[in-house]
Amino acid sequence: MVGWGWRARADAELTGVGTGLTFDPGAERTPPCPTSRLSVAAQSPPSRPPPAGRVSQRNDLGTGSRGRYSIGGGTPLFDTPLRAPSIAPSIVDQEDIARGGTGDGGQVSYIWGTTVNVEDARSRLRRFIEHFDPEDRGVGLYDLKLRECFERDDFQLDVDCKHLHGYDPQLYKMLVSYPQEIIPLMDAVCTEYFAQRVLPQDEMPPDENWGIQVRTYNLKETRAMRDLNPSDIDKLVAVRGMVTRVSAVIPDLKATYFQCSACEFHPPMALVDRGRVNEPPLRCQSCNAVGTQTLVHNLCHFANKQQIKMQETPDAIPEGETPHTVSMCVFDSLVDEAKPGDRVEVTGVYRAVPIRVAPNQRVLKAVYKTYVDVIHIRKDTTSRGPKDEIEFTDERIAEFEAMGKNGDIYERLVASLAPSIWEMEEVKKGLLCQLFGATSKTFKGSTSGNKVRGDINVILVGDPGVSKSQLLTYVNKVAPRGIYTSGRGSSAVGLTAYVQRDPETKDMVLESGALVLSDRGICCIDEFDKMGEGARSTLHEVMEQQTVSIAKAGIIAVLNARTSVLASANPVGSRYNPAMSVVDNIQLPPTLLSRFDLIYLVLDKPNPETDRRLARHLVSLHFKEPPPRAKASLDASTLTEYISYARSTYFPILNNEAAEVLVEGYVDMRRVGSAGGRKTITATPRQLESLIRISESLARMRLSNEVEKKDAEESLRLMRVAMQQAAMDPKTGQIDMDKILTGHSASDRMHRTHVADAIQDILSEMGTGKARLSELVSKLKERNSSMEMSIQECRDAAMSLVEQDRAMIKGDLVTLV
Amino acid sequence: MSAPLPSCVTDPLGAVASAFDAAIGSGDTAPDQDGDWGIKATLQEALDRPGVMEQIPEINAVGVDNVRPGQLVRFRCMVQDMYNPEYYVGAYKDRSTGGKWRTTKFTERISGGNSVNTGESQPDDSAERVIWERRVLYCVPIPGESSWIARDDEDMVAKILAAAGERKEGPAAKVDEKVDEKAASSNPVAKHPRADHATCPPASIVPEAAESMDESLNLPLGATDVADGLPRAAPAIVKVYESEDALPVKLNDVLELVGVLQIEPDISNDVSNTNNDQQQAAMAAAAAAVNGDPATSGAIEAPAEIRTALIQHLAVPLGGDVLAAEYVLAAIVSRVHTRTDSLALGKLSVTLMGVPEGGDLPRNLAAAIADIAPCVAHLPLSIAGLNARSWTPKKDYGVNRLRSGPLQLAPGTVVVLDETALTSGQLRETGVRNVQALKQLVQLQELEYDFQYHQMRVPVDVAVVVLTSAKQGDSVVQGGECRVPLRMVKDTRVAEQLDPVMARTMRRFVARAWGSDHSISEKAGKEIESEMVAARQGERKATELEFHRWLTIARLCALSSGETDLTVKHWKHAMECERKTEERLRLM
Repeated sequence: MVGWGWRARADAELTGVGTGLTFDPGAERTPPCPTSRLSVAAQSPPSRPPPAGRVSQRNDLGTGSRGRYSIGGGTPLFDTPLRAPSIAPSIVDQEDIARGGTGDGGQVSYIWGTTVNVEDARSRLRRFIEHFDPEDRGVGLYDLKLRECFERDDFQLDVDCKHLHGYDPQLYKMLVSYPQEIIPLMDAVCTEYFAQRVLPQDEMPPDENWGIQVRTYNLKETRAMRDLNPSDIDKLVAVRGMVTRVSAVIPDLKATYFQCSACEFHPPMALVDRGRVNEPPLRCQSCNAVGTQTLVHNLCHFANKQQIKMQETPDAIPEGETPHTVSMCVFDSLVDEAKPGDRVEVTGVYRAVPIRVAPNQRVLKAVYKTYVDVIHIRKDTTSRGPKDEIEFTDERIAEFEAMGKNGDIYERLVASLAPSIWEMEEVKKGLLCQLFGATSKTFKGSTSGNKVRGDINVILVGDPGVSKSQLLTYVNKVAPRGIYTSGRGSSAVGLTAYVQRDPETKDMVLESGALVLSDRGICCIDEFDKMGEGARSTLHEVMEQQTVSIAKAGIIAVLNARTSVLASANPVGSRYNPAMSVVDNIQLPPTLLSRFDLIYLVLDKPNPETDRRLARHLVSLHFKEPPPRAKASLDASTLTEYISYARSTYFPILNNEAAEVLVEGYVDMRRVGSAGGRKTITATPRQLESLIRISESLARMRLSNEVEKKDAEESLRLMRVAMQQAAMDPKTGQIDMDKILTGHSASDRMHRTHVADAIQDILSEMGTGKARLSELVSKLKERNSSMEMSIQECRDAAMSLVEQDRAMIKGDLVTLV
Repeated sequence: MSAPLPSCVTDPLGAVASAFDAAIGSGDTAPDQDGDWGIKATLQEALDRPGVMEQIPEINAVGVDNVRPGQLVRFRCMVQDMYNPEYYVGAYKDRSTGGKWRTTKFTERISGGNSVNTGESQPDDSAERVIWERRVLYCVPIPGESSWIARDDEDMVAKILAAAGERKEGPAAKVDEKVDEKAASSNPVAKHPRADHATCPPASIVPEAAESMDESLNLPLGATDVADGLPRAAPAIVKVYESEDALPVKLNDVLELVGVLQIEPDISNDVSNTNNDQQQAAMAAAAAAVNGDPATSGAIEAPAEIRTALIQHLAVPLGGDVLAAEYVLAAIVSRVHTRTDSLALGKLSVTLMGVPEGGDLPRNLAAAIADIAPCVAHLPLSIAGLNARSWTPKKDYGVNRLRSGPLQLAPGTVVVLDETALTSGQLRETGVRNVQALKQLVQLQELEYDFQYHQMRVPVDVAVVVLTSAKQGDSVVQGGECRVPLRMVKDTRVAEQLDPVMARTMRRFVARAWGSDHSISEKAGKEIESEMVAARQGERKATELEFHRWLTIARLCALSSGETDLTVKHWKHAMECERKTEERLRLM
């Protein structure tokens, strides 16, 4: 039991200190309160009950230090009833001492300014360390941990505050309210326990400075930086944030070694009290020389200290405000734990110290500087972004499940995606597939362990002014991780990875490009067609193998880039030219094009009906209240959460029925492709994979682990619609502009089937089975006044008969088959 | 001039002290709660009296050197940065006065007032002081503020005339304000305004020189040149005592504060410090200074004539091009009224094409706009300027401040982006990023603030007028709605001095149009719808973006005619403008 109580020792030595010389090793550090009495006084809010006694170690955390030092043999800290601190007698009010603050004579000791009974707290802590056993192993959890500490020769004991709360809520409350008193007490209790129970009898403590240091973490509540307020001062708080600055390691003088330069006599080492060095008497005690005492630096004790600045994480900042920052001091083994950019959760004591007007004046400003004395740092290493790992509460999960199992989820999701963008439902469906993604698969059978990507790549090719960029921006916003680049401004290396000489270390370092950064996310590339040929070719590897290989300047690396690519491009000549084939219009190399699962042709086609609705939508957008969201739709953040939930929970697999549908569909596609020669986009095995992926993502959307037939059918439909294949002449590869059906609402289609049925009726009544369109129009009008229409509309309706092989149209003559 | 000023205006700190005394009584117990003690109500009531507000000096107009510390002042400013909240000794027991509690609210020092603090009055026991919290803002004078606003302030008579009975009373709040005095008086660069700018009243910046100029001041547009004897603008640290709920403040908000000025040398930099009670105008305070709430001010007579006068005024620097002037006017009164996921509706940016290179046109135009609009920023683009520094605000963790950029502007500012000075050269990374930021600003009315570890998107509301010498294609900064080729019939000139009465009417008119709401009748809506449908059928298919543009221009036509109801007449007028523009574009 050799001296692990430097604090107690300090009491004796600090008695009757002289005037202070400020020792301030850290350049960045503000003067740590020169007038010690002031800061001590400031620590306790005035509302506390009058002091009855005082534990001597309350300065421990107060010095801004968690370092424990002992000099020589000291008396064990708590062996005798607590002695009143003689540290700075001026702190103790006269009455304080008079009331028996010295604590001698078996009096009950309270922590100064509180109703916390020291002995009581000690026994509670002891009980906790000894008996807390959540897993019923018969041995206390912390007993085991202490034994581990012994094995590892490391004297940091992490104490989970949730355990403490579960075992003894009262103690937890004490800890949070008076951490500066309770934590040293915990140290003492643990050290005592360790020495009595863990340390083998014959073994001596490692060195005289040893002692268990308790680090508390996992408080019940984590505070937002913004919510800290003056009532939290000197309380234990947990805050989450991002480290922005880390200072160099500052040697913090803990104990001074003076020596007389004349006779080499040295007075006993003195502890540094809050940056104030206690100077030995001016006259040397041995040789009586005056002013010969000098500080011998290499015999002094120093501790590591570091200052860290932490900033609020972006998601915690209210709109239109700047992030708050908090300064922190870390000590000893916590130094260099956190680096700039780390997201951390810090447990520590929130402190406020007054600032001096000038370093050499005692006058203080009325303003306080706040910081956190760090006790524990927990790094958030699991996630790189805040959106990656959303923890869902049970209610939230139940809510999502209910939403997903509801039959209309597909429509709801479509309505929720970019609600301000008009129509384009088919494109939105494709983008949803991309957002939800499919499962990536590894084939175990093959030797190479072939991987098949689960990310869906989409390209939008279309006329200018059809809100492609807006869609991209929106997807970038809702995607759990998204990067937005413009093809014109991106170079190959900017997209993949590049090697750069680090300006500080002069080493070659690998810098990640956009695609690597959006690993497991979506990389949106606008103006894909304006991108350089070289840059585009680097995408080949990323889009199929999902890696980026780099071999440059002695660095050979393969980086993961499990990214979905969402690209947008204009057709050749800016506008879609209906006289040319689809392939000629897109003009991207087939190698690249085949890597896109969905290729959307977004064509701007006037249509009075949709145009009118668009116009009405715009007028109301500009001149009235913005239209209320469709009731069923989700807002952007809910959508993001739903996507993350579905992605993290469901991994759908095809059932037999669905597989058959896909196979048949694929065979059909191959047939169409081969007939068209070079003018159409030929289906390759990649398309089959795409179909599987799309159907998987559709199943995921409705939170199902099984891909059903309807998913497969929908995926085939999506792919066909995307390419406007319904309207394409397979022979020429051209799109019949009059035939594009997209944009027709369900009611339109319903109406058309009615009309078509009526036409069929009329034709069969005619006997000849033939009729001119103009005749049909008048006959239809006779039958039903609501069926009044133009010849063009009549032709459209008749066309649907043709599509079903029920009729033929030649010129304006309709013939029943 | 008028009735004697109330005591809370002449001696604000005294009023605070007596209110505090009255609230806590002479008791020995500490005031455990931060409070207001009725100061706000007292001051509000005093400020409501006619003529009182006008007698409180405005520091931008009077100059910080001419105000006695401890005096009640006004400060019209924009929130440039928000610091961490500050903990301070809110009240303490003063031993020198026999244990009486005193408050330090609205002052920086424990002993209060401005007497030098001595050790004796230092309260040294926690039982004798309480800690409260206050918010700290860094405010700069509104960037690019037109000189007439400050001049109006100087001219008390004009001020009273203009503002009588029209001021909108915002919720008063307590603000403590510090003025960076060193910055205000000892910046050598700023004392020698460059000759080419001396004649140019609107804020003008040469970014390559800006680095040194405003580094310490954080003025978004750099040290601006001051026209005709106005004092140099000085930023200030403002301390807000009102709670967040009572006075929500956001970045780039324009505030009109009333508070107590205190100038205090600090260790690191000279800081002047003030205690403020404040008044806030939620919209552009600058507009409020001439106008008050647009909704309450009376109808403006002969709106058509004023509109013509405005267009004539703007046409002078544009070489008599009335159509271009009309577009510029529309841009001036444009404002973002609705934001959806990816659209900012209501904004209008105009690109004037074919502007002669190297002429005076950009400067003359900026000056003409400054005559009628509250804030104008004239930003000449040049390769060197773009490469020199980031134009968007950037967090500097070294000094823990948000470094301002020329694009950090108050809502309602008109940006004149002068591309004519652009020569060929290579943009470095910063330059490319700046161009992208400009594009984002024009397209989405959003600016990305760089916090190094993450980017923060901040919505802005500024109208952009781009001047480019290109005759075809797009300007460097893409994304503007309207492209109007310029047709000058004569040389550009400086717009002549406006008649003061007319000028005031015009400014009121513009401010009113900018702030107005708008509506549309059912009938006009239907008509416009069918016109749009028809436009889709023609030879040239109109796109959705064009529809947006047409609707915006039509709305702005209505507003700039002094009306809030959009009718078919305005739509027709807008379409006529568009037709003319298109014709010009075809001919180019």
